[in-house]
Amino acid sequence: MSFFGFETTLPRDQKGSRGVFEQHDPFAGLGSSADADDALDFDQTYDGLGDQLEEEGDTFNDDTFGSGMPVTRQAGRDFDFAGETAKIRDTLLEEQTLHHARMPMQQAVQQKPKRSGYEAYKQPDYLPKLEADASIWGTSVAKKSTPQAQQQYQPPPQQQQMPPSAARKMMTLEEVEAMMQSQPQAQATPPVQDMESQSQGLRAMLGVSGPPPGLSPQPQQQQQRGPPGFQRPPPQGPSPGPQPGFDYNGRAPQILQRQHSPPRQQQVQQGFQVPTPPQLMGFQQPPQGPMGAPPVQPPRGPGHARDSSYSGPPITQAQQMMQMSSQDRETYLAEEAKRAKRNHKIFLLSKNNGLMTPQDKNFITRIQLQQLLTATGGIDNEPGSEDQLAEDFYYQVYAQIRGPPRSGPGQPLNQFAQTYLFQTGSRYGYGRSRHHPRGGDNHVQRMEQQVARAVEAAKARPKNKSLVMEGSLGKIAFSNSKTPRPLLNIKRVDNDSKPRKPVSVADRKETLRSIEKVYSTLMQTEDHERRLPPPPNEDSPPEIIEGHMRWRSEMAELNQQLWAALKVMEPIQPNNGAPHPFIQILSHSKGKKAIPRVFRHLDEQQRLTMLTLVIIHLDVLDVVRDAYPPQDNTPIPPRVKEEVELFAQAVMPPLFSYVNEAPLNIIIGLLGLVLDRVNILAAVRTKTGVSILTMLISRAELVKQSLASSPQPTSEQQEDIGQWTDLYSRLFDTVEPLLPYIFPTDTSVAAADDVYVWQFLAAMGVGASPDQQQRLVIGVKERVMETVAVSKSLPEDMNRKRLGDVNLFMRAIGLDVELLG
Amino acid sequence: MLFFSFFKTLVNHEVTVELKNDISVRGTLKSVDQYLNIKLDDISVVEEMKYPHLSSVKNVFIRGSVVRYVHLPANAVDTPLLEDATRREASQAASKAKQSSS
Amino acid sequence: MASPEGPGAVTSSVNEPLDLVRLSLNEVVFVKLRGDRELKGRLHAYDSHCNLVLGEVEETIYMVDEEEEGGNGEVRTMKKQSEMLFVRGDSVVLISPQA
Repeated sequence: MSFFGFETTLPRDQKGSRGVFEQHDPFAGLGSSADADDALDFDQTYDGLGDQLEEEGDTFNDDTFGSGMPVTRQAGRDFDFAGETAKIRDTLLEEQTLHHARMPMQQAVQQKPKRSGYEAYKQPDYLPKLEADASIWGTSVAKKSTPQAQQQYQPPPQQQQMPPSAARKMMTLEEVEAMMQSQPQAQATPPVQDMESQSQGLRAMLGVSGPPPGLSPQPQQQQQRGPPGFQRPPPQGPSPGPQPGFDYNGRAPQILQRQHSPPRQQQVQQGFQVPTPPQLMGFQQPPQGPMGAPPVQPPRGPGHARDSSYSGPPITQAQQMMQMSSQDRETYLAEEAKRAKRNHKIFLLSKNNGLMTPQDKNFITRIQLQQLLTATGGIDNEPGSEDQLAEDFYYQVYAQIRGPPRSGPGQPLNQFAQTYLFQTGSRYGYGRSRHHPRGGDNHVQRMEQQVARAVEAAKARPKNKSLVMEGSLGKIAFSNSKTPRPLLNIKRVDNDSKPRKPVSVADRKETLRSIEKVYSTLMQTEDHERRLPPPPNEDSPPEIIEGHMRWRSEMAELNQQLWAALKVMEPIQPNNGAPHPFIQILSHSKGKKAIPRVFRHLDEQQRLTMLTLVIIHLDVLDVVRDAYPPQDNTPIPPRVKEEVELFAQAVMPPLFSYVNEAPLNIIIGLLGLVLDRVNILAAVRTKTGVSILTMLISRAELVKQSLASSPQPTSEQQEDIGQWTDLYSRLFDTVEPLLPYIFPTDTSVAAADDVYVWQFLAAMGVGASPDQQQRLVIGVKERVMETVAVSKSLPEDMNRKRLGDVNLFMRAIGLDVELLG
Repeated sequence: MLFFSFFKTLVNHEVTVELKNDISVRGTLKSVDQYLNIKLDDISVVEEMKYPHLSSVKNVFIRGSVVRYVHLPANAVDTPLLEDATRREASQAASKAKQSSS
Repeated sequence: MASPEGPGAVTSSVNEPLDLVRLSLNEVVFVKLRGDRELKGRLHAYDSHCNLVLGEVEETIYMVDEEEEGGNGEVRTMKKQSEMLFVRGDSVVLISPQA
């Protein structure tokens, strides 16, 4: 069976399992009949075939091939007729479609037959015309492509074989055959001819009225089903014009001929000449000349493309073309060639059209879309949309914060990322801090500015006049001798004034849970904040106002939850041993990191409460307790230093911003709490403790001086100032013995990061009485001298910085390092 | 999708992918997909002497499932943001679980 | 957000195992892996597959010196550091807070 180039097993396999390929197969019956019987019944099968062949086709075999050409011998050379025919399949299909499309237009077509010639098929006398054409071919015999011509005319016979009248028409092929047989001798292409004719002959033998094997049977089916009037172009593509068909048409013979090494020109001509009706050929031959194909090819392009639906315009074009000058024609042809090329491309792309049903396509498309969406990370591709943020939160926000990793199409600025940045504050953090030197000393700088302001304000007053006049540390030292201080009798602060038991695992877990609760609530609050509806005005419709009110009440509820999660209001149990829950939250770095974000959502009262809680637990904060300098002056562990840094970066700024706005009475209250409840001696030897004291003192000095300079201070203000002065003195007396020890001990003087101490001393110095100023100087004199001395050996910029640090303090008491020589 | 989202921010950064067969490949992360399959460019194999067969390879596609570690440049990771993203993912998963269970 | 139970209801209870891991976010954790490996580092991210991102990681690999006679293999440990590490979840055996 492979004799015919069939895949013999296919029909059997196809039975019942062809799925989307379920189509009419003109050979299905044939194949199955052959296969239904086993291979053992070959004879029977053969007989069946033979019947069919004889009935339909054999009659004309001799006419077609001449009696002297045994089919089998030809087949032996190259029996892949199906494959070869498949290559011209599209042309064949086209011809069929064309033919049907033309039928309604028959009248018009008849008037202008030279355009396509196919319309003639409907005429009973079209064969004579063919004869006439043959005579035209005779004039260009050298380039003839009769085999092709034969192929071209195959479709019509296929359709017309069915009516008995076909028999008569088939006869005319004889004449064609006669020509062909004469040509091969001249052109040395008999094999092609043979095979072409053979393929036709074989199909005739098989009694097959459809396209040759290998053709997709679908168009056939259509043709058979639909009435001619409804015939549409086969569904292969948008415009399965003959142009693609032509290409295929041309290609097939080329391949065939190549096997027999024919002249190239002939190949080309075969390609284009074939579908061209003889009459047109006659006109075209002159320009064609030896060049062959290109001139003829173009006119067919548009003509065929339209012919599939309508035959009018192409004819006009052809006429016009013939009237064109040769130049115009060339440009026109060039254009047409382009179009032909495009059509061919379209054809190539559309080759497999119709293999899938629309439902299949929909299904695949849905799957692909789904994958695409999950791959890009969002159902909704709009950047910044809720869905996308939910799925792709990190990337979206990160890309906004640091810029996209690659320069993609500019995304619209992501509102959410901006809000997120604003809500979470500057990028402090563990991973970043050590690799990105952020300008993160903001807090220190602000503290410094506040201290400097206090110093400036203090300078405006003449109270330090005498000291400035004295002008040297020596004299201050002298004054010290008059009021000796027990400098050496400093009581070493015991850090065990409060019981310190390690936090239990359960407590720790509870704290972590609290922190995560804080974060959950915090993120909900931040999300809710983002959904702030536009503020309503008087004209707003009630639903907008209502929506706004609902938003606010939800915000208030979230605030309450956030406040509860922070556990600030948990009762303070001084003898419990375990620190307050909020302080425990603060002892974790993620707890510290939450504070600036949380603080934004707290009201004034809540902020003050939190600040108060921090201050009365100043000495049990991890950043104070753990950072207390060890007895042996070993360095503080890096982990603790990190926490201290984080506290300065995350917790201090919001507290500082609050204190910076606070009235004097609040500062007084806070400092009173520090003095009453906090082990100042423990706090003051740590950076955090010192910073907090500096924060309070410098703010108080600023307020005090602004009050003092006001023309008429109220009695309340006077009272506050008096109260503050008392408190300050108490603080001074408490701190004074420790002054030499408040500097960091784990680093050398040269490398010390002690600017926070100088800030503290400056803040103390501003509010100090002359006597207190002297005592201050005595307390830190050694450190001052040492730092100045060490600075001289430092590089210029370091030197200036260190002296600047010291001068913070010196200027506060009206001195300057310059005076030290 | 957290880690897919995360790795997308690391595109064009130098990373070292350590595979479960102990081969470590260093290269520029060119792309990643939701399975955390990884494409590296300009690769070099750590301990090349041990795996000479990879010395001529310039870029690789690594199936996500064979990855043990990916060593990342810390300065390319915004850890507070990443932790927030993790919390969001966890909350979403929890709420989804809740929805499906109720 | 405004679920019937009110915001925060979702996370108010720690029901699932991974909720415990969440508590260790930004904390130092101990991770045991297949192939006799252990990690210690700060947890920055995780997901339901136990994919992890750890910062400042120390990896410990336990290796048995295989001697020809068999047995008596001495356990050697190798330590490696990594500033930031993604760990694929299918290698993870357990995650524990480093209390």
